[in-house]
Amino acid sequence: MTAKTTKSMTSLPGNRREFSRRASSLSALISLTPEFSESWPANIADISLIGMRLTGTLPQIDGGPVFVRPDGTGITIAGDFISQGEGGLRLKFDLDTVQLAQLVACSDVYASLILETISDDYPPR
Amino acid sequence: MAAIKSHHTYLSGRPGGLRLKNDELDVSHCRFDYMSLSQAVLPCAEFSESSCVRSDFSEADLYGSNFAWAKLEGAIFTKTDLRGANFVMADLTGASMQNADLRPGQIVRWSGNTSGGPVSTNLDSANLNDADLRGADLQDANLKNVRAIGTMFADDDMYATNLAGAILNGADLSGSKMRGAVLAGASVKGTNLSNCDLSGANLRNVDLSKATLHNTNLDGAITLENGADLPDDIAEVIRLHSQWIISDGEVGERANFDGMDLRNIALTGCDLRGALFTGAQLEGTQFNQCELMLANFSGTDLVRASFLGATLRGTIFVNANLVDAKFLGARLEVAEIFNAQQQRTGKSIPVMFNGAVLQGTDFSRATISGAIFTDSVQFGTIWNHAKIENCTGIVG
Repeated sequence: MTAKTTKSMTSLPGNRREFSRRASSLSALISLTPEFSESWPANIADISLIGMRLTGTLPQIDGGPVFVRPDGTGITIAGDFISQGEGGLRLKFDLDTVQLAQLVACSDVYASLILETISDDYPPR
Repeated sequence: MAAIKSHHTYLSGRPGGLRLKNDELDVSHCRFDYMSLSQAVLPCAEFSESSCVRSDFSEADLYGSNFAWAKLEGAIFTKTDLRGANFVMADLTGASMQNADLRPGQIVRWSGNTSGGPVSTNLDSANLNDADLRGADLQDANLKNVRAIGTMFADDDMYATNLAGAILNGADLSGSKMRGAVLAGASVKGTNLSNCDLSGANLRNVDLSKATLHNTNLDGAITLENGADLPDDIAEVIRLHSQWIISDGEVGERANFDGMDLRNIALTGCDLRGALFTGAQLEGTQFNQCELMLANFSGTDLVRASFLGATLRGTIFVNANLVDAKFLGARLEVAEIFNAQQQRTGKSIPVMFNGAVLQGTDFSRATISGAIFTDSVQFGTIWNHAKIENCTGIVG
């Protein structure tokens, strides 16, 4: 799976780059049940360490858990509903170690996001 | 404008003039092209997105000032106090910064720094093509991703300066003191590094074969061993990966060695953070001194591979075959994840050896913290003098 960021490296005239939320072209399946008895294809429009925004032709969701399977990762993320509107469906999530590692392995966007958060310094050794 | 006119009178030595002094002057988005602010005292001034083409700031006090995104082509900063200043994305093409003071500053407002610690002068992604920085003091300055083609840095003090990803083609850094500097992923085609002190410097993924290295001190520097001898396709993957890392994923491409033959190749000293090795042939590959944070070796055949002195934070070896592989003196640690405010999130990724074959694998003198060895085959695994803490699944 490949996904390219559309984040602008130079969007802010400050000294930091904005990396809390990053645009992606990841796709996924979402469901309201962990068994995915009924599911819908979605695009992960942007993703952060703690949440994501999904777009596509999605059902109206009023709340509760939403399950997301990013394509090619083999993991299911249990997300909590935050809001749904014209911008899409916003979820927050709490990834465990295996999910984090798998998402890093399968998503270039998530990998660069994580690499950036670990350290901006570049020690000689 | 009256203050500037009065300053010009002061500069000309005529009576009635007054030296321009102003704390926190805010002239962002303004035009100062061809204007002289020489000797002005303007600490923490706000010049962001201003246009100061060919302006003269020589001998001015611009401590902690903000020139982010400013147009500064041909501007003069000779002997200017620029400690802690911000030039992120500024265009300094052809500017003169001879003998300028670009060391860190203590009280710098643009950074939002509340710790009270020194803030490095920031030239991240600035354009320094054909600029003249001879004799400048760039200790600890951030020149990450700068374009500095043909730039003069000769005899500069560049201790611990960050030049990661910088394009230094044709630049003159001769005689510069660059101990502990970071040039990872920098491009140095035709760069003059003669008489440079690069001891202890980070030169990961830097191809030094086209730089001038007469009398250059590289003691203790981490360099890409035999970099010029790598097969072209592998060298290209590493080059793009460097860009990907240094630009935080903006440009370049994450290294994916799936299907590539890396057997017995020396990748010593490379920065391969986040690289994907699944599906690659890796028997006898040398990863000595490599930076391999979050690299993924799941299911690979790493028989006789060596990781001597490598840094392995959150590296994944799930179901890998590591028979007779060597990790002597390597650091295998948890990759701790921080949020945008650089606060701990409580999230981390450990080094994972789940299901790996560790027959005869040598971890002598390695530092192993928080790693997971669950369901791995540990037969004849060597742990001599290894420092092991908080690991799970180690047998015996």
